[in-house]
Amino acid sequence: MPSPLRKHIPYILVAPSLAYLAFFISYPIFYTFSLALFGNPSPMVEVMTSPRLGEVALYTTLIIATVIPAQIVIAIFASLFFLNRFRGRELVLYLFIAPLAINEVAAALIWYTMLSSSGFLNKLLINTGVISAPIYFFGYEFIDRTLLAIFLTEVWRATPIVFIIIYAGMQMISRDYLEAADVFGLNLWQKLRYIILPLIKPYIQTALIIRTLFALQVVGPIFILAGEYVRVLATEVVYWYSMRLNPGVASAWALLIGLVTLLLGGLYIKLLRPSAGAT
Amino acid sequence: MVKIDLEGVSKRFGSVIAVDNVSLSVSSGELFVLLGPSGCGKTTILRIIAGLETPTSGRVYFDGVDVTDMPSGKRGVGMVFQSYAVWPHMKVYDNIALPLRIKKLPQSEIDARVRSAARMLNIENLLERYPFQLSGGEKQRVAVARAIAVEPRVLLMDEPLSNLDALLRVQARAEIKRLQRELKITTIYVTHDQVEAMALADRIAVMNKGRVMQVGTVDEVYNKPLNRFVAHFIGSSMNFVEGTITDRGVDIGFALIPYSSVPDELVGKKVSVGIRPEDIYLEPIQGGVVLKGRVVLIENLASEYIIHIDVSGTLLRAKTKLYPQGEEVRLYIHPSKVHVFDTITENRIHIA
Amino acid sequence: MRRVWVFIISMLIIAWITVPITYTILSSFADLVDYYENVLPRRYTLRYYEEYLRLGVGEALVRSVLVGILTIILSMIIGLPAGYAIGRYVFRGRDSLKLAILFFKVIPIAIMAVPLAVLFIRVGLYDTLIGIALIHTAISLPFVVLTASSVFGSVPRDLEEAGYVFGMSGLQVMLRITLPLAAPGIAATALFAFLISWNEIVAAIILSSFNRTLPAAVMTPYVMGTGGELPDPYKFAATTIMVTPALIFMLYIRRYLIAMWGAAGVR
Ligand SMILES: Nc1ncnc2c1ncn2[C@@H]1O[C@H](COP(=O)(O)OP(=O)(O)O)[C@@H](O)[C@H]1O
Ligand SMILES: [Mg+2]
Repeated sequence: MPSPLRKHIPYILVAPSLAYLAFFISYPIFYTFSLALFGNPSPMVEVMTSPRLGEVALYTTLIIATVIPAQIVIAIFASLFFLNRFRGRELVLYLFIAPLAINEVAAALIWYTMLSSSGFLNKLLINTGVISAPIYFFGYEFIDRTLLAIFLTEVWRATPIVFIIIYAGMQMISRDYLEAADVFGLNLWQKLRYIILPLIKPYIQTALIIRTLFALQVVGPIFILAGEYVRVLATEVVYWYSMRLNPGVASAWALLIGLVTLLLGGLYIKLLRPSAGAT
Repeated sequence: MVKIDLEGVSKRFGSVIAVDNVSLSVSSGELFVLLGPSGCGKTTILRIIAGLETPTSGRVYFDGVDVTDMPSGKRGVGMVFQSYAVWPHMKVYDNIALPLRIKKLPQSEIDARVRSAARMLNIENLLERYPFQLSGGEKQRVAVARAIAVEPRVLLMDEPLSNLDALLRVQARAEIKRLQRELKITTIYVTHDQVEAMALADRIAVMNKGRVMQVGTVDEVYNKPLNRFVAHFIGSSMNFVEGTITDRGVDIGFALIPYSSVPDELVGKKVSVGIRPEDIYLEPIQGGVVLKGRVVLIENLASEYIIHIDVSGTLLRAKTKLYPQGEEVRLYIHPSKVHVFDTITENRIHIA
Repeated sequence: MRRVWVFIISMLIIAWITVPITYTILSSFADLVDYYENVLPRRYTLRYYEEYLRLGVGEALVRSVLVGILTIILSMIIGLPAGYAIGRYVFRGRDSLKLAILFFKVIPIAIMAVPLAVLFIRVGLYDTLIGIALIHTAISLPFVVLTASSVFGSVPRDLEEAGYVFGMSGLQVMLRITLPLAAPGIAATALFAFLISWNEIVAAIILSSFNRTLPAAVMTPYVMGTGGELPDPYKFAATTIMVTPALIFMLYIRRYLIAMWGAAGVR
């Protein structure tokens, strides 16, 4: 069907999506810049010199640097586990990825139920006589434990995304490669080290990028579990816009998220360039 | 039924030339086979004839009418895809009926045609099944039934038997041949299997690297291969020996194949000489050239033997029903069964 | 031996996921005194749900559903054609387009939300369901396009070509062959768009003040409360309302998740 129109069909089909995204992304980006940079004093300058910046940087880094490696490791082992065929596998698999359907706020509240002073864990331990007074996870004096609660929530809630990407990669590995490894006597660790990990490297890379960039946007668990004691980039945006009614400063924080996103994204792609042949 | 002509058809995909300046003529009612190794452009030619692909250059004619730019659905072709392409979300009946419904045929006519096609292919009992309930052989029949139910002017088949097991393949092959004879639809059949090609074809086009190497009847391509590629591809794999043309025949080192009328301009030319294993005899034949050799290995194929023979340092294979007596044997070759090719151009040199 | 390990790990995973969820749901029905004293509540009540209805959470729920449906409609109308083009045609710029869409997927929502709030106030879309649906569409569109492209891309080409050969028009092939085969995947894509909207918080908070969707409403101070805080079980009632439909949708979507996330490799 060679008609001149036919050549343009894909472009015509793609145009609405592209236009929509371009408007909803490019307009805000442009506007964020002007909101964040201009003003007296410039909100960006305000943010960069604010005493909160150090604290925000610390907690943002701390959460990302602990949560994501844990998720990658768990996801790799879970993927290995789910390569096994066993009865009830479908159900266990569904449960494992189910938190993907649960939003940040709900996940945070679920872990609040588990860990609060009158939560499952404390009541269980007290009623069985293991402890006499509740272990407090929340509140200003217990920021370390609050961070642990945030860690648990994030691992529980967002590991499925990492898992799905890595599992997809592992399913791509031909059974023959692993059977060949068996023939040559590699044990599980050696198979992981020399065959599986090199083959799924691109998937790990994808998972890292997607997960890190989404982690930069998490607000629910932090607001709900830590209130205002723990501050990260994303909570600052919401805080300044919704509670302090200051779009300028909110935009400046948002812009910072954007910059960090770009920076980390670029860094991952550079550092984890798939080695030749490992595709 | 229509006559199909391709005129200088080429197709490029980026830098790949899939089809290179192919001209063909398929007569009305004929079963024409495109034969060649995988990747030589057979499917591409078929898709160009079907209208699924537009040639980069060249024209396609049905009965002299230029159809190059005609949409596929308007050409009146029936096609059997290599994967069968039986629509998985429809019952067998609907698979066969849908193309007829698209043509807005009356319901009674559709039903009659579906049933008659199903009867021809012996799948009447499968009409209410979904494709996932069918075996490979059954799907293949459904695909053929769908193609003939539209009463096509041209039937195109792309390796329709390659996904079947060996026994089924032989049966289905005979069935296709019978069906084509009955319906007399101009048919173009693609395969990489030379046995299949020879069993089916009225005429064969042997292809290599996007080009047509030779077009002819089975006997023509077998007995008079136009170049080394065709000689090698058709029949059991040929013995090749280097030689030189002299004024008395072809000198292959350990023997002289005599020819009476060698044109002067050919004398001294380097040639490749091809001899089929089945053309090497262990008992004397009329007018045969005699060679002496030593048996190296005997492969027993139950009904016949492949005998590997060392003839003054050159290894030849002979296919015979006789079991050789002793190590030393005499071989007989008839000069008319010897194929002579130019070493450089690889084209056949006609010599007698 | 291996079977024992598989069993143990399966049990750990089941406990890891189900204990927190079940306990939260259980607690949302627990009598207040009971909740603070016993691990497993003995008396149950519906009062948190009833009270919530009075606090306007019921309306937030309805708003969430409406915004979700609007998001499905918009993102399907805009995104499916693009998904079809990317899954089906080879055209110049296709790879860069995919990369660009991937990039849109990770744009921080906060960056989009603040300026849009300012704009929406000006044009009267602030605090409206359409306004929120518009940004939720922008957020889910990259997912819809990429998933749809993989769904359409997995419809074998020759099934469509068989349609053309037997005389169908492009539209007939689309309606009779491509869409029926792609339907389950498209349905999953729609549900996924709904889930994204149902779960989205940042934009929903920033783009509304009174007409909030459920998760945003749950986050408002008088529900979450830093001052006159409501007792815990209220929060669990809210959680139960948010989680239950999502888990049910997930049951259907799960087979397509690999296409949504896994196939989106950055390579
Ligand atoms: N759509 C396409 N895009 C790029 N190359 C193609 C396409 N179709 C076929 N080719 C190339 O053209 C050549 C001929 O292919 P094909 O006609 O399928 O061969 P055959 O059917 O004889 O095996 C091959 O090298 C193949 O890789
Ligand atoms: Mg082919």
